[in-house]
Amino acid sequence: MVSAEESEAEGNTPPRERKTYAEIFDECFPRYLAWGMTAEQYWEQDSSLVIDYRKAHKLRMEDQNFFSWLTGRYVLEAINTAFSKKGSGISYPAKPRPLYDEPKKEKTQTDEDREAYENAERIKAKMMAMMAKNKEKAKPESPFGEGFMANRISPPENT
Amino acid sequence: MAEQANIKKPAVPEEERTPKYLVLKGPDGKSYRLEFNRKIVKQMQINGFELDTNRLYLCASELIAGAFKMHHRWMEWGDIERIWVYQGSKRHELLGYLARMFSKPALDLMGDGEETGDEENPTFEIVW
Repeated sequence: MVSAEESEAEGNTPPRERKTYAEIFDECFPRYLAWGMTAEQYWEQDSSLVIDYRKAHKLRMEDQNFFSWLTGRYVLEAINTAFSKKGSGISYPAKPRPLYDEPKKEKTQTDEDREAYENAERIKAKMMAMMAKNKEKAKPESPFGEGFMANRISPPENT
Repeated sequence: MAEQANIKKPAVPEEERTPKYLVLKGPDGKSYRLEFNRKIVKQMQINGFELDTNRLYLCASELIAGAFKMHHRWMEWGDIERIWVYQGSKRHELLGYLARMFSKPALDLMGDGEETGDEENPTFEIVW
């Protein structure tokens, strides 16, 4: 009989250890328990349930990976803010960044009307301010100085 | 000159796919669900059962009895035999299905469980 060592010395690879299904089940069991599967689900229920648990675990890992990346990004922003010069315009975001793109709201007629009204009001206010400024500039100055007329001697009263 | 052809793997034919379970009709008109779970497969192997796909008929009785265990635990062998005989000429085909179903709990732990067969196979090509 040829031993395993002799067989290996001859260049033959040793035969692989064959596992029974029972051994494979026992080996994989703790992993699925860790992924949230119950013993009953694993041993007694639909055997293909493990596929969904595996997919769920993969999704969880992807989420975890994303959140780790997000944390790193926030930390980076915090460091950038801490080491940036004052007035450089870099600041830490006041609110968390949105995870998903918010769908753009379609403008209704009332929204557009309100916007137009607000724009008109803004322009009106600006115009008024400018006009007031111009009026101030256009006011003729008295050659005798301010308050000249106020210090004028009042005429004698008729007796 | 060798002609090269990229052969797309054909879809897995229905008779080669692994069913989740089988529903047999008995002579009494009742339906019987045949299925394997890990507990039963493990128990069968502990009891010394070994699936030999080349000589299925040698382990047929144990395989059939095991398939009944999940949903009809207390059924006696005589009743099981009667239901099995009632299947007539389809028995051989059913036995093939049962053999694949026996391996399913283990295969589900390894593969992704999809047997569509229409995925491309990038690992080899056939040269005629």
